[in-house]
Amino acid sequence: MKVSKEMLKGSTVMLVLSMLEQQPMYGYQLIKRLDAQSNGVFALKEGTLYPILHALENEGHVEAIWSEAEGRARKTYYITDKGKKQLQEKTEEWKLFQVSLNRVIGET
Amino acid sequence: MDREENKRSLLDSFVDQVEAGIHAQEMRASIRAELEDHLYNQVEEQMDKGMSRSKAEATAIRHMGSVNTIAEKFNIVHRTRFPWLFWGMIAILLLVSTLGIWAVQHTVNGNYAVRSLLDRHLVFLGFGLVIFIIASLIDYRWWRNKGWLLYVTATGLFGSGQLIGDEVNGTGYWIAIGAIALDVGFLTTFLFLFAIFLIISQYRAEYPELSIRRELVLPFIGIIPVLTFVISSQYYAVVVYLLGFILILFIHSFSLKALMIGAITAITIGVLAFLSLPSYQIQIERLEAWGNHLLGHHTRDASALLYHLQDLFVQAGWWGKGWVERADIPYPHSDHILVVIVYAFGWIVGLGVLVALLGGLTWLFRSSYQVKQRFGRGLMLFISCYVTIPVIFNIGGLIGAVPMNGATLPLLSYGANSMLIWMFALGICTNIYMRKDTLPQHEARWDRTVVIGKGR
Repeated sequence: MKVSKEMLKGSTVMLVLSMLEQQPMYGYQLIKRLDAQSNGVFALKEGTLYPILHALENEGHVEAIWSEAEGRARKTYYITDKGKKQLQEKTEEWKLFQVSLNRVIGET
Repeated sequence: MDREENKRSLLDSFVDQVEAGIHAQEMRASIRAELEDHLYNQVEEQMDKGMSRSKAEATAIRHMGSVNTIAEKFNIVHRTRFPWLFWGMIAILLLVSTLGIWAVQHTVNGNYAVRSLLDRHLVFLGFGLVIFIIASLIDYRWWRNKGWLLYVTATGLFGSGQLIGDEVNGTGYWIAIGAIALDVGFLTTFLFLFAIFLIISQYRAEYPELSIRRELVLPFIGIIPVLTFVISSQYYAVVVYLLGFILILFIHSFSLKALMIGAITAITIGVLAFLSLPSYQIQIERLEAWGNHLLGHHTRDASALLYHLQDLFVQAGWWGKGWVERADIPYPHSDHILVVIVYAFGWIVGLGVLVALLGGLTWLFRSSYQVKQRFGRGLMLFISCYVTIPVIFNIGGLIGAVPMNGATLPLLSYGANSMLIWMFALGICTNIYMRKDTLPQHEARWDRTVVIGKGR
């Protein structure tokens, strides 16, 4: 079962940062791991991942280095300390949201 | 062969379309490389599963999404940023500066009314705005290889000052060009530092791994300006210059050893030159007077001006004395403009000025660390520190923390030269900020400049 675009949109940054917290990754690798770990629930439109990564890079939440792999240039992303802090805040925000939502749903 | 070329061009065609939709032209190459890596990975995976190449490419493109959506999202991220808050702070300071000069002309004892300070200020404010706009529009990277040109220009300007300039108040030289007077000391301080920053940036990009020998050779280009300032008795300029020079070495991650050797050499040469001058005795007396002030031994003559200015601050009150009562300052140098402003318009305006100044400085420092491109980040950081130095000296002088030194607050003086230099420097910072998200972090030749905050 897929989730709606709106729900996914609000949690994309958290998903990307949590993946990068596990290990540095390049874009394609990140998409595949996310798809695998979520059993296909979080299947992003692949092209839109890169603007998100670039935005995170501009904000200083991730850094990237270029290397050569399989005869091509490859950009690998690393989470920064600022990114870890952002992830922590987003995670706490999500937990609060989850608890509050469960409370409401439970009451109905 | 034609079928193979047609199949290969499907991915290229997709990436071409995305690339064409991206407005930040200098980001296109890196975005293209990233998308191609992704697409070819996807194609290889699909072909490993037994799919034909054409189907694999079509699948890869379908998974990527719409060309327009991708390009649009990239354009939201990589767009020109306008520093509205920073421009607002500059506007506030320029407005206050104009009010202050008006107050100087109309409220201070003496014949300032006939000197048309306000008219001159408005003319140079106009020039300053033009310079600001031009500096904001010129790509800051254009300055990268202009270091030696600027160094020679600064040296030439200094030499011209010595040959044809007029000495003012026993220190510093001014070159008169029609109605304009060029303050050689002020102009050359910034020009030398800017030039040395550019020279060292270029050098560090070419030689990322500096040997200690190279590290010691580079600072020697910084020694000549020390001699020029000391010889022309511009002691404030030499202090500012030395601080700026050490900062440049620090920004470029010179080793602590090289930093200390460079700084000690520059200071030693400066002190030796200073002691050889006839005027050094006067400077020693001034330093002694300041020292006595710090120790609480108040002497009438040397500290009189300081106490008088502090009294004027206290007398101002929250709303000031207006423009009728005159602030009794014997000669309101540009470093006393803040006193005139506060006396005329009150502590509330003085606080506003300080908030705008400190807010502007904070914005400069924070924004410099947001710049990914190393040369831009280093240059903006250097200018941020350079702007901060006179603020510390000016306010420090007014509260007695440092000797009275003639430092002027950025944009708050009636000197034409300082207005032009500050507007130029802040224009460069504006350009760096505007381009920060439209330039890739790494450029072919300049990605190896080592700048504090990000490492290599």
